[in-house]
Amino acid sequence: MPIEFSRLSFVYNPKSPFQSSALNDISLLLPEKQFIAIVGRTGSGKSTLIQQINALLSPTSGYVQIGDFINHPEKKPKRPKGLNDEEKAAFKKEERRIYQKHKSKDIKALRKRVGLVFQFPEYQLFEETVEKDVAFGPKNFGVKKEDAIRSAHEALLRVGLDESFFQRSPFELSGGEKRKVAIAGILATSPEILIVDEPTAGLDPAAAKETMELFTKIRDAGTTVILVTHDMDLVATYAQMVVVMENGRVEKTCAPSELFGQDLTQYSLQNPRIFDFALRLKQKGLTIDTEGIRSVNDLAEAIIRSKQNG
Amino acid sequence: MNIIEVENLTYSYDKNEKNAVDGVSFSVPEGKYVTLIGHNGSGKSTLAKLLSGLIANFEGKITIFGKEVKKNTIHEIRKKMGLVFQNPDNQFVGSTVRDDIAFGLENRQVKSEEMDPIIDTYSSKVGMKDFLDKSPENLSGGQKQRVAIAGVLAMHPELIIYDEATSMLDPVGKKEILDITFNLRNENPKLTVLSITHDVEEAYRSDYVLVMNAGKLVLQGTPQEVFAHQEELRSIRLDAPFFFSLKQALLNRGISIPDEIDTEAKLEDFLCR
Amino acid sequence: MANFTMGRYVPYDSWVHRMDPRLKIYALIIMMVAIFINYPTWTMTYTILGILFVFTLILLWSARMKFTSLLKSLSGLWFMVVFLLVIYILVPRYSEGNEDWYFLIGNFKVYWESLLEAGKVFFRLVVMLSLSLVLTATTKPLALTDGLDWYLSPLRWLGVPTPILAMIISLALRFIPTILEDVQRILKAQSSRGVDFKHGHIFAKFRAIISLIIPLFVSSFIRSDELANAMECRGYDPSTKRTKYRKLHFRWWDLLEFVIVSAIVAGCLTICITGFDAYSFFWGLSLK
Repeated sequence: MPIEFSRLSFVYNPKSPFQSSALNDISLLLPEKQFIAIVGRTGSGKSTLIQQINALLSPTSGYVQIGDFINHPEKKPKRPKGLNDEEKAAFKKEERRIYQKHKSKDIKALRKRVGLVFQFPEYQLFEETVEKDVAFGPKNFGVKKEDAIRSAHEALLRVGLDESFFQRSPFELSGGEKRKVAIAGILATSPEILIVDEPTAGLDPAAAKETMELFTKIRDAGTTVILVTHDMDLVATYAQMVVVMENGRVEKTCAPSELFGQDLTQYSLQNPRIFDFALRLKQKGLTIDTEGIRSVNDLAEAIIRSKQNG
Repeated sequence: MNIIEVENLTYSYDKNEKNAVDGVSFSVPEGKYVTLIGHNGSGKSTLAKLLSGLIANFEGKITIFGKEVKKNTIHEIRKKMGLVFQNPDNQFVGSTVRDDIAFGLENRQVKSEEMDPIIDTYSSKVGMKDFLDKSPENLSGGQKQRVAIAGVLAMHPELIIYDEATSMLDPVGKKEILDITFNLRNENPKLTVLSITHDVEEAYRSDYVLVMNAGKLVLQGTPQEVFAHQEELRSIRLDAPFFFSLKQALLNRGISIPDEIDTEAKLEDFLCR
Repeated sequence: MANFTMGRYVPYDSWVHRMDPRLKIYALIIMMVAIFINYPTWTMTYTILGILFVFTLILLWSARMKFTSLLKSLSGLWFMVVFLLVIYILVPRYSEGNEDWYFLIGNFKVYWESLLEAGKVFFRLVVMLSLSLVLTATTKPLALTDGLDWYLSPLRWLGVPTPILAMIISLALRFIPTILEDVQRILKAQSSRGVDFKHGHIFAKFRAIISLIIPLFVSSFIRSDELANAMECRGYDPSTKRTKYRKLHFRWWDLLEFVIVSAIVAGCLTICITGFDAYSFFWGLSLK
């Protein structure tokens, strides 16, 4: 299920002293079954952008299409003046296509297909047992109780929590385990698109690595994974495509190694460590090919290659 | 002189459970930047609580500034010790940056007229002078932590303890906090810093590293010494800093690197030769 | 100019914003008195309410607030207001000598005094709410706490721990936005898990609320625990004396405003107590 943004803008608290424009004329195509990273500094509009995808927010103008669902503004725009009949008809047709009324069940169906894991998702747990909490999502989406429990078990095993966790209270788990339960709660609805917002924040390096590898497996199983993050090291290692945002606009869409070959201070981003080091080697005169580098081992090999060639 | 001395410290939250901190002994000398690393659940947060006097009835002995930590000494000790905690929101007491820095001053009964110059000095030291009238919901996590540091500095501490102060921050915020801290220490060589963290890059930049696992202190030494034990660190879920992983990766591929190459800059020069 | 949500501080710079919070609280309270006391005749009642209403409009205008936006923010209360007014009109009400002062709707006697009473209640309500709104929209919550703290301070002599009370209020105010953010975040997180907070039958709604309330409590407890630790480590001790960073300063224009407000209310009180009827005194009119 691809996601297509078309001239989408969004304003918080319109027409008040607190008004602020968060997204500005975004046109963007996110292909399916990819590992996509959305990066940018705090306040660049990343979080607002992902909330458009599962209709937690609706655009102020423009629209975003997810499969056959179109998230559109509440109010239809006025027809521009001075159109001829043909243009008027085209405008009307387009309006009919975009402005379909959504019932609450349509939105639910969308949210079942688009799973969103917020930052620090452990704060959304509330049931008495881990199993019940993970089954909460599927049950809300109309899955029968037994089936919901079954998919809960599958999801828990997938994130690496075995049977011994099923009947425990989520509140007695460690921070990292709670995070896993929360992620399982989204996976249990088997979404076609999984959006994760800073999933590694506050985790220790080993847990962070496990989490990221889980998302890679999920992508391999055919789910689109959209990662929102500040951490360029994660982007370099895991993402196939990166979207750079700045001041509510999409500044660049490309492959990670293409982005990291250059100076990123203009986007207030830091290069990943491996690229940072490679850039400094370049400045000191070593010709090194950064294309396709993802890990420290890749970097070591690239260094050796360039030493052999030079 | 040792600022902190810990002898055989043991504590458990529940008698039926394993000890969260289990027979730990170490000392922190004056003017050093010491990092304490360990994965989540290794007991390092409990240790932070013990050191700040938030948990009583432990076994063993903690001495800070030459005074044993007890109920009747902790107030005295806290006067010269500043703490920065993990969650930026939950230590921001004032409704604005100004009021938050003033909170500690009010507790120390500083006269109202003397507060503004102090607030100005320390807010500019952490680069928050232009934000004095902002409220916390309009600040980033990194900015809130900078305010927390300013609040600590206004108390003229001899010891600063970070309890995972950067773990909820984005990389830019992390870097800001670390740069500020290293600057502070350059300005005041007597300032002692103990940072409890899981950021190995920070540990790599510090003077001395303590490693905890399952409530016990398993390794300690200079970063060079500690991070030489890569296998052992990996087995207790800790990464090596970038420099050490790259060096190792190159060594594994048959490049011989002399021992005196012990910083990133030296490695760059070595590789470009 | 914009919509004002009830009770929210709106950062503008006007003389109303700059008033001393203690004076604003004082003014609000005594103006309320002036609004709620009874005046000798209907004409005097409406004259005084009219004056107070104009005074309120001046305040609203000075604070850069729109009267229409005030009415809009009351929109949730419309039903109640209309209901109240209808009740007032339907209940027979007349004072001595005015028994015949009514008109008929069909067979039903509607007393003119009922209508006047309803109008009075409506006026009181609008003026009262406008004044409260002016107070909350032009005063920072922190300044409001400082003002309240000042009024509470005499209670210290009775053993009431007023500094602790003030600390509790200011912490509550400090954490309202943070907790509202938590609410928003949990609301969104549960919505993405398929919770529908708007539709559904009562049981489903109850489940929805539970899925919001429990995480909110958990995170608030964690927050308060960590906050208590941080405050303790920063040297806060409720039993010892603390100095105060923010001191309130009463300035000369505050004095002027104090005099104006006091004079208006004193005038109203005098009229109420003496039963002074300006219309008969100056113009010899005898109006009801």
